[in-house]
Amino acid sequence: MGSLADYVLRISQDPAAASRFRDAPDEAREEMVRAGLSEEQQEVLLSNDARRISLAIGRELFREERDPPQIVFNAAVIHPFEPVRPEGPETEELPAEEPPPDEIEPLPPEPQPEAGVGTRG
Amino acid sequence: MTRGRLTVVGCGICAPLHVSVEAAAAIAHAQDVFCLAADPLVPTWLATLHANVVSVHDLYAIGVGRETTYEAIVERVLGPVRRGRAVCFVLYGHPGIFAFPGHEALRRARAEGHEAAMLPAISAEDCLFADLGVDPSAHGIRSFEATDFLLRPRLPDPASALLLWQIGLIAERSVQARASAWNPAGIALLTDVLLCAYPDDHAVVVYEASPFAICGPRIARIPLAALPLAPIGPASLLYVPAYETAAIDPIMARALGLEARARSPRSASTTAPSRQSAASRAFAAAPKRATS
Repeated sequence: MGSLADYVLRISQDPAAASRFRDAPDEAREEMVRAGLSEEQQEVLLSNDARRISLAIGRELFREERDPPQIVFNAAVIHPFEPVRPEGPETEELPAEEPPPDEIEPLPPEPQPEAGVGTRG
Repeated sequence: MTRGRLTVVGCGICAPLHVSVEAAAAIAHAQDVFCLAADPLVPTWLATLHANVVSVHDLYAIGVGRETTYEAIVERVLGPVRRGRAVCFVLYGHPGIFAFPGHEALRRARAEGHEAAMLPAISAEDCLFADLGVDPSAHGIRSFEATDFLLRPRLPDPASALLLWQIGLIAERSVQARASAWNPAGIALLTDVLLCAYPDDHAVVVYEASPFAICGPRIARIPLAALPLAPIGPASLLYVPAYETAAIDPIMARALGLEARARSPRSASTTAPSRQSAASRAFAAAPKRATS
């Protein structure tokens, strides 16, 4: 039996082959047969379902009966009850010639809308 | 101290097609390569470029907080850097977008005096713009992590597009072993919040970029009210198009020497004071200088 991972990796390095695969399923099936992929493997690859393909490749690579470790994500850690540091470079001391923040002339106060104006119900 | 080098690169969403020439060279020329990818094929591909590729996938475990996992990842990556080696850390997507370990590894490496750099790459957002055919310049776009969006309420702005990341992982601090949404109750809550600013039938898109060249993205266009029933997974993003066109601020338009053209059908008929930017109010209040 052929390797799903090897087949997808080969296609993924050849944009023209990937385009042919998506646009001509019959040709793709013939090519998969030549690559030694089983009927089941062909169905997976032709499913157009990235999650299903990912699981099948993962099972093959990890050689496990159970599902491989799930996709992992790397969002910034959320600390719900702690203040978040502002983004940007590390805080630096202001140069001496810069006025401290409380001496910067503030913008004029924002006009308050009349009752019922600009509110969303 | 022995000075090492850390290069943090991304392999895009669909590796190796999305990998830049610059990133591929960084991988090939490193002494050690670490890999964190959502697609199981990526480590296999990396092994064709480099003989010493180590995945950090084993550091994730169900029930373990992501903070703990990230700390372990950062320290593993920095180990050889501290021994003076040239290390490349490969993350999926863009290495600086929703990628805490990459940023933290860079920060610590620099603080310790090592050479450190990040290279840009293709993110899920880049894929979304291409697959949905939307241009963020049309209405502007606001982008938030979904849990953060709920925790820190923002003023609604239906005149801008809204992009919410990780809608399938709302309030989830660890990892789970399932391909469907990890917190359906969070999606229901998110829907309720959005319905305060948009109508029930406003068409939104649940989107997942494809990690494989042989298949397309998952795109589900649904009315907002149906969001809890949508096929949402851990990699899903929610794209909420702008519902209306922001009105022109006449004060700013005059200041810029621009004349407003015919309004689009959904544009507001007047510019309410609350819609004026702080900058334009300040401009209006400031004494005018003569212009030539």
